Amino acid sequence: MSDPTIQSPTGPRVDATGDWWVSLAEIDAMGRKAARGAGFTWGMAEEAGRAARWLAAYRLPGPDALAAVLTEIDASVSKHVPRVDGSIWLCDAGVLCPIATGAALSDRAEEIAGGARFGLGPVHWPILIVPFLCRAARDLECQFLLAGDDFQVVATTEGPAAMDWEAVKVPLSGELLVTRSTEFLCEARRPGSDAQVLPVETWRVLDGFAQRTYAPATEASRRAGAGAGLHDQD
Amino acid sequence: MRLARMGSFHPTRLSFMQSLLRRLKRETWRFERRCWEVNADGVGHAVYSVEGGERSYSLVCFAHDLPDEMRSDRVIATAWDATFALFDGIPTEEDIQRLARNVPKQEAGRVSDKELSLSRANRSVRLFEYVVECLTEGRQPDAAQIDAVGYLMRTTAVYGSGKFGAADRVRIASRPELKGPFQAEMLSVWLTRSFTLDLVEHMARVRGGARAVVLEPDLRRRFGVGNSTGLGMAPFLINHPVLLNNWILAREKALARVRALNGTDAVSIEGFRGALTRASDNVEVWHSEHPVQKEKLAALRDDLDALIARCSGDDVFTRQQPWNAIWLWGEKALSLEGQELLVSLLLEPHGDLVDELADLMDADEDAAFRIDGSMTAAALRDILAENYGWALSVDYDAPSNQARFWYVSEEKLEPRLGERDAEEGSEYEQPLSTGRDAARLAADLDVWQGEPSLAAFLLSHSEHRHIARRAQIAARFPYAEIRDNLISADLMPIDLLRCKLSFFGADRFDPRSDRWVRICMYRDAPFPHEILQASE
Repeated sequence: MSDPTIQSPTGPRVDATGDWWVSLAEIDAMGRKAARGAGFTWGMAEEAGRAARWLAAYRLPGPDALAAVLTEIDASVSKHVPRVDGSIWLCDAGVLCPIATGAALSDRAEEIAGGARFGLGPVHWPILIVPFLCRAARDLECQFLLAGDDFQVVATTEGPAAMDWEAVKVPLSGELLVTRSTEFLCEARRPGSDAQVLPVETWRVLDGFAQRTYAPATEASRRAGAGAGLHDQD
Repeated sequence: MRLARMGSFHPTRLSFMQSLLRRLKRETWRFERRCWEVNADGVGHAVYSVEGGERSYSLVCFAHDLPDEMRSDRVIATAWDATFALFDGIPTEEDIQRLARNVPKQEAGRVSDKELSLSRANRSVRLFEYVVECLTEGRQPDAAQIDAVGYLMRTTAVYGSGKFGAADRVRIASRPELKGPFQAEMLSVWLTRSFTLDLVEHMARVRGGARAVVLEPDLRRRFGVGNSTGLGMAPFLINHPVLLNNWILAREKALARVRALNGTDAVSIEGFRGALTRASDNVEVWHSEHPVQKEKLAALRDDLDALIARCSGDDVFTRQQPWNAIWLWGEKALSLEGQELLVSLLLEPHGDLVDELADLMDADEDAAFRIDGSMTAAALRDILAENYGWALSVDYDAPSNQARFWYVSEEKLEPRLGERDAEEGSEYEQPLSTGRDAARLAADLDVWQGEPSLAAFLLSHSEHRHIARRAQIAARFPYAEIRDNLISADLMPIDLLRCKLSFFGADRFDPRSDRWVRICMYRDAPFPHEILQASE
């Protein structure tokens, strides 16, 4: 009986086109593997998988955003990590990674809840920051606002709230500000059912990164790795 | 908790199969074999349904004609004697047709969020043919031959929780009957058992006509469902620390409750002695060729003799805290196998006291996911000192202390264990080296000169984010971390498998190497038609 949680979700068949059905658990696992494949540390890759899954549960484009981010920052992750040393967080590459930024904000959520305000330079697919703020909002029982120009999301204990989701689903933001908020924008979005339909191309991109985490088979590994041992018939 | 002890666990009444059957019986679920369309060659499909007040679940079974040379229990197999999906509700003809296109392909197919599990099974060629032959000729099979194998089919994988497109756990976690861990998978295996017995009786009827007989109920119960489990399952307990904690905590709490009882009564004593006799009978027919398990079984037989002798008179039960006295004696007198069997025996007559603990064995893992970055780096170092002492003193430069590495093979996308010195691929290492990672984290924390917060440390040391999360979990959940070096040369992965399978409720653990194990599930358990009402 194998691990019923997902070690390694399968990629789409070579000839698959159109839509691809996946479960939230597969998004989590695939996101984690893909992020690792793109050069994230394991702990950060876990954050990426969870964030993609979380957005998908709310019918927001988590896997698509993650696939786009990984393509953008592939193998240069460290250059997109924020420097937390001034009033505005910037990075060497110019545009921040939303996963590294989300994790750093999550780690400082208590400070934000206590009144600290953090400015962010431009962010790739900033919607990926939202899951981090919502989880922190739930754990600390408060609300956070992520805002800049048209972009505006409130992370509540119930989920994310935004007046204009199209302005949030952008590939690149301008400068943003993260603050504690008591503002009531609108009802928080509710999670949908768990089955997800993605463009097969998105899944293929993520699977391409995930493949980098798998060790090529060798004769030795085929023989010993699974521990064949005694004959398996009776 | 250490691996040597975890690798000696036996099923208890808190195990998931046991708690599933208790619930279905208590809540008067109904049962029906809704469909049986299997031809004379044993090829076709069948549907088994259980129905509760609000919901129903159906096992859709596909029987295949598999040539002997294609039969393999390895995960690399591509065809099986039978394949299954647990359907959420009662399937329509369309659902069955959709499943017929996908389920027989297993990993190569896709299921949907209407399915809760996907599984397959292979025949025990020896016993299956023997039983069909006996029944065909109008006679009952020999009990000793049944016991020697224990099952007609063994499952080689039972996939749940969102695998291959199946429903995610969140979809079912709020249903009382599926809230507990692995309840959908356990239900699927229980119904699979009925299918395997119906199939041999069907084959006998086809071959023998009027001459054929069905199995006598007592003999029928002796059949369980076999299972082969390999490394695919091994990382689970490491990847789910909060869940592991809750499983072990429930078991420990149950034991503590029984030990705290001031006295006992005749019913409990009789229940205990009955369980002891059954355990003794079971160990008699429990065989393994694996040298380690052989040694453990020999010790267990001695343990059982000692335990029976100890509990033969009534005086042991008349003292203050009698169960505690037996436990304290057992801790000194018995091997780990014997001690852990004693845990199962002590719980057995105390259902009223311990069964409710089964409701605490699921976990909200998301609630424990966020790292508390406001903690100071120094506080995290204290947590390591407190909870990872077993790991911090190990010299990881010594080859034997990091002899292995866990990786995922490109070929089958399954976890594997490699030898660091002899094999390529250690750059693909999975984050399962908990002890070494904790030691590396401690070393970097010791020289950290930056801002005091963990947030600042992790921004500089993202490579420690994984183990920092684990350490914070371990500080809150005492049984979350397995306190052993999981990459050492003397690691026995079967210890991980045995622990998990015992929580499922499996028994007769028969390691076939240090990396995979045969077990039996639901042996001697009732069948659905015996404890549930027939559907109208």
